Amino acid sequence: MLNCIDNSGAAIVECVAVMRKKTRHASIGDRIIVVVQKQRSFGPENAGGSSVGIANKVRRGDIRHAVVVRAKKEVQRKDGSLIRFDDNACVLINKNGDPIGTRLSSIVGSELRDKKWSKILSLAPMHV
Amino acid sequence: MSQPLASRLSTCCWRSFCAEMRPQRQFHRSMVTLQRGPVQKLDVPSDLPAQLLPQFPERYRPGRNRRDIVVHPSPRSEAETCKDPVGLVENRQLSVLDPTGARARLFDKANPDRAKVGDVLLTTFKSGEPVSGVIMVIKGSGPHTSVLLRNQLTTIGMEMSIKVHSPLVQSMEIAQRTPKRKRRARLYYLRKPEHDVGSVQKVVDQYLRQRAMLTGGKNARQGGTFRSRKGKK
Repeated sequence: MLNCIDNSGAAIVECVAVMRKKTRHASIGDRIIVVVQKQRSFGPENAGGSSVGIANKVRRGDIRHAVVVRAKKEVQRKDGSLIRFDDNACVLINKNGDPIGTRLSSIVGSELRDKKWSKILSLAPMHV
Repeated sequence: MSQPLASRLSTCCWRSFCAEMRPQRQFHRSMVTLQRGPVQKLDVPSDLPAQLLPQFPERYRPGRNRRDIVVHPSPRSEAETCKDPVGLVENRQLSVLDPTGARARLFDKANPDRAKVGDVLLTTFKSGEPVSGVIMVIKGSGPHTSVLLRNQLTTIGMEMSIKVHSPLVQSMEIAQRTPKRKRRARLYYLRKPEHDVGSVQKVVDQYLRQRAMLTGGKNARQGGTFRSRKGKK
């Protein structure tokens, strides 16, 4: 179970597979396949009807690709420093690797830069 | 047909005859060994012709002592020449990584003004990005010393372990000292939501403002990059 931090409409997703890895564990920057478990409620936006399209980009039960952007398990950087976040979070992407949402709500790990996810990095408010 | 049978019979008889003979022969032999006693070893005669010598094993040839075991002198112990090799290497590395010794003093146990757990530390990397947080743990010693900083960025808790003597670290400053001495050496309880200190961005901002006032606004920009990026969004 991961948090989804973009505005694609998913709030909590469940990881069902890690792509391009023999091991079963994903870390920051890994592409995973997820099932949307909980939708984000865009209460005021839905009422206004202005951004219904944004809110309905994904639905509960959808199978999507995603990129892990934060992990509770510490990651060692090349300079010997470790980084660890308090939660596991991901960003939904489509099959081509472009993010589905248009903005991210919180920080992402800068390991994404090494793994060529610069589109997600440019959406993020900050990266550490 | 009858001939092999006869031969078999004859071998049978021969075997039984032998079986009767055998115990006698064994008895005879044992008597001989009893009578002979220990074998007396003879020295190699000194006036042996030279062409017979190759028939002897090497240790029996003249000029070879039978008990000639070579005892080598033990090699010089490196542990005695250098009592503390690890300390030597560490000192050498520290002199390279931290020539002024300021960083080592900041985390020196003997220094009363050292950085302690619970302090808010502002670290700036060579690349210019600042990382701030409450010191949870000071780990290791010598050039391996590392600090674990905890902070909240956009309400997400983040911990970063930084090597104090890393050549990538530009500066380490204490933005705020802990008001009360912490009774733990490692403040892992800060991970629990009820003990979390939250974001230290305000403290760091205030410290940077004060420092800018004192130093004449030289480093006022430092540490503000996070907020500027947030503002862009």
